[in-house]
Amino acid sequence: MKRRDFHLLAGGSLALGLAAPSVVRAQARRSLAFVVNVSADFWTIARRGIERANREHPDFEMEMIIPSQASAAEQRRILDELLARRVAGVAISAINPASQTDVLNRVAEQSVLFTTDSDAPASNRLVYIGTDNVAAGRSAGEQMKKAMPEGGRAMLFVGTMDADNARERVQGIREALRGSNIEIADIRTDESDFARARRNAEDALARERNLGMMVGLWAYNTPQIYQAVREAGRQGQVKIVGFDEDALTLRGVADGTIHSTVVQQPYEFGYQSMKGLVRVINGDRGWIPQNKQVIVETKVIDRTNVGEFQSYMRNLLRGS
Amino acid sequence: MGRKEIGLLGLIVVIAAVTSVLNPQFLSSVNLMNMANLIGLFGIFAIGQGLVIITGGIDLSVGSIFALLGVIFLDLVVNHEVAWPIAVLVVLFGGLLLGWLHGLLVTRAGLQPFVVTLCGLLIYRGAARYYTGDSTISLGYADNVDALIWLAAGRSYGIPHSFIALVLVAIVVGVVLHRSVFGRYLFAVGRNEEATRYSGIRTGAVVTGAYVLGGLLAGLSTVLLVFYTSSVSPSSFGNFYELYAIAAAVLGGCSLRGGEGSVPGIVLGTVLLQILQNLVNILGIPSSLNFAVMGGVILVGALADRHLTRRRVAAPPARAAGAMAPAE
Repeated sequence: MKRRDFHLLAGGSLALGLAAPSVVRAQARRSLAFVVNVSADFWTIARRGIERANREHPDFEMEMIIPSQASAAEQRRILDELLARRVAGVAISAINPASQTDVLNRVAEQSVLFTTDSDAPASNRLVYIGTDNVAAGRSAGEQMKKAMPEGGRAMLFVGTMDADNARERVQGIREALRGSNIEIADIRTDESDFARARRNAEDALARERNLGMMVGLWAYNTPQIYQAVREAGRQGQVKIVGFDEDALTLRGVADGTIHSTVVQQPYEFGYQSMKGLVRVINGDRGWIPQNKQVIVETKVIDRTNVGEFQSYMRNLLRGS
Repeated sequence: MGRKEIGLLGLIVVIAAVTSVLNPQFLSSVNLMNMANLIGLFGIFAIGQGLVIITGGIDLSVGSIFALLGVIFLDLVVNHEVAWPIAVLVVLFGGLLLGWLHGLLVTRAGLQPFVVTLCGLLIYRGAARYYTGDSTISLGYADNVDALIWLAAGRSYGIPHSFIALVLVAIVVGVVLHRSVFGRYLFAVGRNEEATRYSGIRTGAVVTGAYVLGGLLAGLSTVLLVFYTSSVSPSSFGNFYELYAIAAAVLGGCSLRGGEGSVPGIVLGTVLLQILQNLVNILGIPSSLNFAVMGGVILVGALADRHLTRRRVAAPPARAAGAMAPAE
């Protein structure tokens, strides 16, 4: 279904190219870009939100851009190119906001800049639309306590700890665990290499015979943990709490191996970011709150609501 | 086994011994079998890489080939519900075809292997991302591949199938490389292509053969890797894996100048690389140091090897005099 969209898109622009001279075409559709950090199903859902916004505003050209590497340098290159193309608005999930302030401010000067998913509060972004990751971490921490009320050792898994959303989630988890008897034994990183993520989970199970819990902080971590735990035959003995809504994660929640997963609403990230950009470009800034944050709430998916959520996801991924 | 392989084996034994003293879980059967699985996954394409390196070439495109063939494979199986044996054949043939193409570009068009495969690295990665529209394809909702999952990611008598596959590949390629005429030609081409050509050997065909074999092994690895991660993200799947393969081949005694190397050496090189990554996790060394540990040990190994080679070159007179000689 993915590629059918592509063909449609290609066909559409071809038809446009035939119909109108190129100068007119360049001015006719202002472009909006949604720059993400790494390719994941998570962003496929956001793409559905963007597509809906695009259907409501066909006078804009909205695209999602995925960096070839999850690095701030690569995002910088993308942003430079977007500015060169005179992009009208950008929503970005900043990989390393602290180091990206300069380039983000340049985008904010020459275009309209939103942040999404991962905020860059030091920059001149107009607004952040996304999750409060500390709150999401706290929510995961509560789930950890529910899954392992007797306490024990927990290990966390994530792509890189220099990403703010990783650090904030860990901070939230630590806040929620304060005073409980769950101990965070270690945090392992995998540089977004899925095979390494799987290996980290396997090695953790081999290293700690009395490991009580594993937590996957990024979308792909939880499925890798799920598979490693099943392979080792330690379902039930090792509790799992995750983030996001990978198909395997949901399967794990449904079969009881995974206690619960904290999901964001990327569809809303995509939809609200694009709608917001259009409004700002049309001169409407009144909707932006004082603290410049539009928080999209997270939800906890556990055994009770996973079936319903699975079918919702399938419909979204299949195409809108 | 030659002197290099024995040295490498020694290094592996020492590192394994130190690690198991620090954490006995290192030698637990669970951990050993996990490692065997990864050795299988990474060893198969390292052997392919080794063949290419022996001819004096290099293949930088391996990681991107994984991404491209990986997304094609999952797309066929998950979205188009193609019978898996056909999908596997498509992937194997795809790897073979890409290898053949590289071989032709190197031998017929006269391009340098580094350039050809660097372009491959870029093109296939881009193609993989375009093909999927930059989204991750996951095995998540596929139900018709249980037999293949068992075949690719299962275990028999506790031994991971990927490791068994590596053993089979190592035996076959080992015989081809070390016991067949084609194998002798590969070394000859790597040592001195011109001289080999003047001896009436079709060097172009020999070199192309190495790339074709390398591509085929990359295709096989793709299937195994896909079932290890269960999902393929076209932008990150297999990133840098060519470097693991090159490192394993070089550790195992392949010279980047060509004409040197052995299958047991490459396998041992892979074993060492996987042990290094495992020990970082098992000993609880911060993940951030992972690559630094790997780089450090490879450097020490290369220095030690160089040192021993020099001593050996200097040693023969002493040996003739009956003095202490290095083990051969």
